[in-house]
Amino acid sequence: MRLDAVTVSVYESDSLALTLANRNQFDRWLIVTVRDDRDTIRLCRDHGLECHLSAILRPDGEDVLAGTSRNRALEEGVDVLGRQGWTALISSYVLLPRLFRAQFDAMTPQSDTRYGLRGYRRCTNRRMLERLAWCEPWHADLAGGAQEFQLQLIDSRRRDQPHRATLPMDALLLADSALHWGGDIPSSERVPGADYRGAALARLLANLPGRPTLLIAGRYPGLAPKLWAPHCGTIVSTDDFCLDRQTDGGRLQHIWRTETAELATPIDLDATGRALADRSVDVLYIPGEASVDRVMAGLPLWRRTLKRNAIICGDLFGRPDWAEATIAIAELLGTPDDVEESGFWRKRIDPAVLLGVPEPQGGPCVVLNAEHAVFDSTLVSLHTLRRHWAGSLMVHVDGAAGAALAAACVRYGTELCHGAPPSDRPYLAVDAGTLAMRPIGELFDAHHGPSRFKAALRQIAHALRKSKREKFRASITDTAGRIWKVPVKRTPAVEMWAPEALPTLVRNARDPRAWKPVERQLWSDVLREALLRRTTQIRVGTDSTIVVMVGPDSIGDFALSWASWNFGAAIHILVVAAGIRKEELEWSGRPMPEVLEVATRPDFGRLLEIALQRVQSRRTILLPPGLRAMPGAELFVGPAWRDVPLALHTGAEVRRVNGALPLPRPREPLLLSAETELLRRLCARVPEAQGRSSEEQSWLRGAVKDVRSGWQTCNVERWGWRIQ
Amino acid sequence: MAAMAVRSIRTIGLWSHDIVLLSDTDEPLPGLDNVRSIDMLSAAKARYPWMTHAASQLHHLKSELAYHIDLTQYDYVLYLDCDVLVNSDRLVDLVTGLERECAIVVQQDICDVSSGFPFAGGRVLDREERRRWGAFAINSGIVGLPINTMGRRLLRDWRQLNVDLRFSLSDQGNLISLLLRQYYGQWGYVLDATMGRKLERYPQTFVHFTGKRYALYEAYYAQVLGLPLPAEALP
Repeated sequence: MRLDAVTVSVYESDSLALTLANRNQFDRWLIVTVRDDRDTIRLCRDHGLECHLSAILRPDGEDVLAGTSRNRALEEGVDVLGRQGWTALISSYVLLPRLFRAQFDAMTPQSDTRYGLRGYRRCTNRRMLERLAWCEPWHADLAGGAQEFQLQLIDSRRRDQPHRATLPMDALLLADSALHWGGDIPSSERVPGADYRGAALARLLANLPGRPTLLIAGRYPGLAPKLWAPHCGTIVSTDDFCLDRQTDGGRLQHIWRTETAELATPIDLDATGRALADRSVDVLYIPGEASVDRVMAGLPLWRRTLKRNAIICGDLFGRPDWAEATIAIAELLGTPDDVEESGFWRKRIDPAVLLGVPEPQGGPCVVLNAEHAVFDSTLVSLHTLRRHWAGSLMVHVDGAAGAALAAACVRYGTELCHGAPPSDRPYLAVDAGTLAMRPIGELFDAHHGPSRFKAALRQIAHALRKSKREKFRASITDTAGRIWKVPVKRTPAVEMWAPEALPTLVRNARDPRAWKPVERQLWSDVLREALLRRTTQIRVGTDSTIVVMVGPDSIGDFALSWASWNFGAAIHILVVAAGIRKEELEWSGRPMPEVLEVATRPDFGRLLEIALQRVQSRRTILLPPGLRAMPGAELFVGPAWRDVPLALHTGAEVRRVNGALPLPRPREPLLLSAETELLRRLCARVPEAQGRSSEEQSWLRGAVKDVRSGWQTCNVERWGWRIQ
Repeated sequence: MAAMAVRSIRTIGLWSHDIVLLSDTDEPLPGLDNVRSIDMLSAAKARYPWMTHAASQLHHLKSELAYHIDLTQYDYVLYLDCDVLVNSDRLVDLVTGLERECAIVVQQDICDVSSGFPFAGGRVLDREERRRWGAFAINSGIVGLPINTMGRRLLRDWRQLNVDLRFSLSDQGNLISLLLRQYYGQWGYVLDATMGRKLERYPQTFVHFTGKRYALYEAYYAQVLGLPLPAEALP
């Protein structure tokens, strides 16, 4: 089947250059541009692409986005192609999957249908694009639309509107920020586009004794088995990407078989994985982007088949680029032992520590309504509910749940539910932010439900008000559909109750700014416990000491932060208690780090100088007390940061222009990583604060002036940190 | 103000290349024949019949530049508001450097995105975006664009966004939304610029007198830069 394509590229030569691989999918690809876009004309000439200068658009191309100009230019291109046959109208920002044509040829497309793509994986920086280009299939995060790609049989005689359908394929969608190396990625962290995964896996396998058994969690063409297969004894694969259910007539399955035809022992496992013996797998390889769903689906098989001390590895790990995959891996499998520059990661694991997946349970259940709730509220409720309820627990969300929530649900043995709660059993519905103080079972056991008559009256009243969910913060619904309210007390009332008579459910005031001390304390205690439970080991740059300065005004923030800081035993942490006693600090049951008490609080530079006297490492990382680590968080791990004399955190990531970068804004907390010797020198030299600037800002200005251009900025929020 | 701004560019900045004045008249500035004036307002009103802008909102039309100038003959375009005075002779080196680096630049503002003010993108960015990008502070009083693919595209997108919103919002807010949503990490700040608040010599190349500080602007021009006031500015 012949397949042509038209692309309008007006000042888009940079995106076109990155999607040139699309030419392999088409028999003829026409680029429509304008006279003034010399870069596109040059690119077409250099790469032998057919180029057409539009007669519809202005020569300077300024009108290409106005109204229907782009569509008319596309039509013009279709005319130039001769108005016949299957033609794709494709944006220069779309990179089609490598096997697009093979899959399309295997299909029987309908002549009266216009096809779009199923979805897009959006690349927000160049690194993502270059890595993902080699890691198919892509995990779409945007629904497909007709804007970027449409494919239809052009027939000049046809007058009726075509039907719409989607091709079962996802593509990469480049954002403008993916076209060039942006200011947020240091040059030494740039991994140019190349297929690293085959080589990385081969290296890993080659260093293992004997010929290990390899389990591939998701077979897909393009895994380069010729590179790594010779190092394996047995190769087993599961069908995570559902090749046998693709509507391409088995084309992908066939290509995979062809690629692995020469291998000695390729075994395609079925969904149950029964062909694989217990404790038989040495290495588990998770290709492509992991997701919570993918990991969760694989956990039962992995728990059963992995040997003790087996290795799990995969293609993509790192908060800045693969937040969802990183959360899934870190929270469900644990932080990797090693992550290569390309994102290829590995971890030795005891399968016994892998989480179990919750089995659907009968009996009454508790449904936590997390719609429109902030994550902390959901987490706090989930934590207390699970503490007081061992039965079935569900989290109700509207639409897709974020990776953090999905992972937290797995951790708490909770099901996610998107639709209506189960009607075949009684359930207690509570809103996120509600805290359980006593066993929940009492609520189901207590016979405080209304009589049938009263219940009916209430139902009618609710139906009239149309707001029954808003009316009750917590309610029990029985199998007959009767609803009755469950009392939820305000948290301050807790103080009035004897411990044995505490209310089952309590809730803080809606506005956190109006919280009383008892509310704040309760919330903080529970959140700290919850953070402790889901914390993952934080990767830190080598030979670094963490220094944090805590004063009277930051004790509360630090207590929460500390609960999320899991730095591992090898990392030296120094807490400077400035103007407070160390007994005032809370350690959440964790080993206490080295604490340096400074009775009176001197100025910032002096305080830092005192702290540095205890630091032995080459680098010092200064963290603010109100900094919370999310799962998969990391700190200055890239090799680029090892040699930067002074790195400062700022939320404003911009390009270094003319060798200059902006200082962090005065409202941003001071967070830095620096060579310890440099910091010592700076402390000795930088004068004390003057004028209106804060101590830190003043010190910073002096420090930056001293190191001239030898400093860099970074944004730790991209590394999985949240500043409170 | 325009005459003073141009004279500071020529005399203090030693700029010998083209200067185009985006104006509400085609008449050249008196005494400055080597400056091309373009009546942006009439042209824009002719192009967009719905437009009701006054001359005082002329600076919102800077994204319409490509309609009036053949940009292909330039490598780099630096836009300056009229309330920006050039304060040093580093201007040529600075622009040459920007052109060499193909840098998209803007001035760093004193009011950041987290403030939520309309001119800081408050009406374009949503709450989560204002939180995430709160530390950015962008002022479109100084904008530098390389005339390459990305520069042309940014100019095109900015113009289209302004037109789509019928110039009802500040062009600065629209530029902020574009730079953060679409061109994240691809641009930088001109850090050799400051806001003019005092009548004393600043070390930076650009001094921006925002907030209608006409008297300070004139005083800086005459007393600090030592340039003669144009005839219309004399009492």
